[in-house]
Amino acid sequence: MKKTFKIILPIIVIISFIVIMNAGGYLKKPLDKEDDVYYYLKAIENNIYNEDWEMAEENLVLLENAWDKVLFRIQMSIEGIRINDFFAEMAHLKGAINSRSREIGIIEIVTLIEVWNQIED
Amino acid sequence: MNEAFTVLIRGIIGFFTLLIFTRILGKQQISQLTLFEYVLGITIGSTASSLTTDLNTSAWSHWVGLFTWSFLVYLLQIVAIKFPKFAAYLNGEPELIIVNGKIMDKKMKQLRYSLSDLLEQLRSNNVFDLKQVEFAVLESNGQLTVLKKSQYETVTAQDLGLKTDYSGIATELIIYGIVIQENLDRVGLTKKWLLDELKNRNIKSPKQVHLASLNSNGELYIDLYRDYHN
Repeated sequence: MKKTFKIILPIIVIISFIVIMNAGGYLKKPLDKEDDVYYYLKAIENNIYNEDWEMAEENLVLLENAWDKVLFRIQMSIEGIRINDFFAEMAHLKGAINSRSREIGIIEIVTLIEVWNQIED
Repeated sequence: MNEAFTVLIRGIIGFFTLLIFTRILGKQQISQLTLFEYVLGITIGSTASSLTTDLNTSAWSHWVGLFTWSFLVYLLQIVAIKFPKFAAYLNGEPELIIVNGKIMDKKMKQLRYSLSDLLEQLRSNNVFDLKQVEFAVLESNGQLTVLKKSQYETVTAQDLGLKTDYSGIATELIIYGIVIQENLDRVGLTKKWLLDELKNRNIKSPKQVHLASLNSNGELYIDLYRDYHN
């Protein structure tokens, strides 16, 4: 029994580590509407195409909140560089929405969606 | 992103992964490693360190690197056991540097092994006079093994024709104040016997004992945390 335990324990530990390191793709999926990053990205994209800047600003705040929630879950398994990219692109998007620039807004939201898709897909 | 928290978790993953993998790879003294094995160890350690602190890349990629290197070392160990000639090809073979008291200077030149290296390693084997050396072997890990001429070897009981008692390994019965019941069972003694022995030495509890060991002659050695008795 002791010998079995000595073999099983390290196997369980290694499997746990593998799960933690690869769980990012699953953990980025939303648990509820409040952390549904993709929903808010698409909503903002829609707002920018329709030049509905007030809604875009509101959805951007909700996106930031959702991203904070998801980040806590996925930060263990995602490359830091992708996280930094997402933050940088969100800042660009904020600038585009503030300046009411449709063209720049479209570029930034499309880029942001692509960065999100690349996170542990 | 909470970098400190991420580094903490990745550090725990790296630490215990390294612990498990090195445990699987087996125990070897640092002094017995070949240069290749030494460099391998540094590489594996460096990979574990990157897993912990390199937040720009995923932990998984570093972990796979760690696993790959450790697995290859494990594979090499298996192959070396099954194919000794391959092990010799990989690690090199021991070389005779001194044969019947004569230094093999051509062999030394071939191995790029200097006289100062030889003399230094002889000194670390407590040999200060080359006249005492019969054979010296340069092992594949770079260590020098020396066989002295028989007249310079230390005298043993066998040389004097003396009979000696059997000398076995001492068994630890108490470590850091904790009684090792498994060892007591192995030597066929009970906890009551041990406590009585402690009582005879004015030791009230095993918790006062730093180390207690029993040798093959049945003599109990006790070291206390403090000197409670004369």
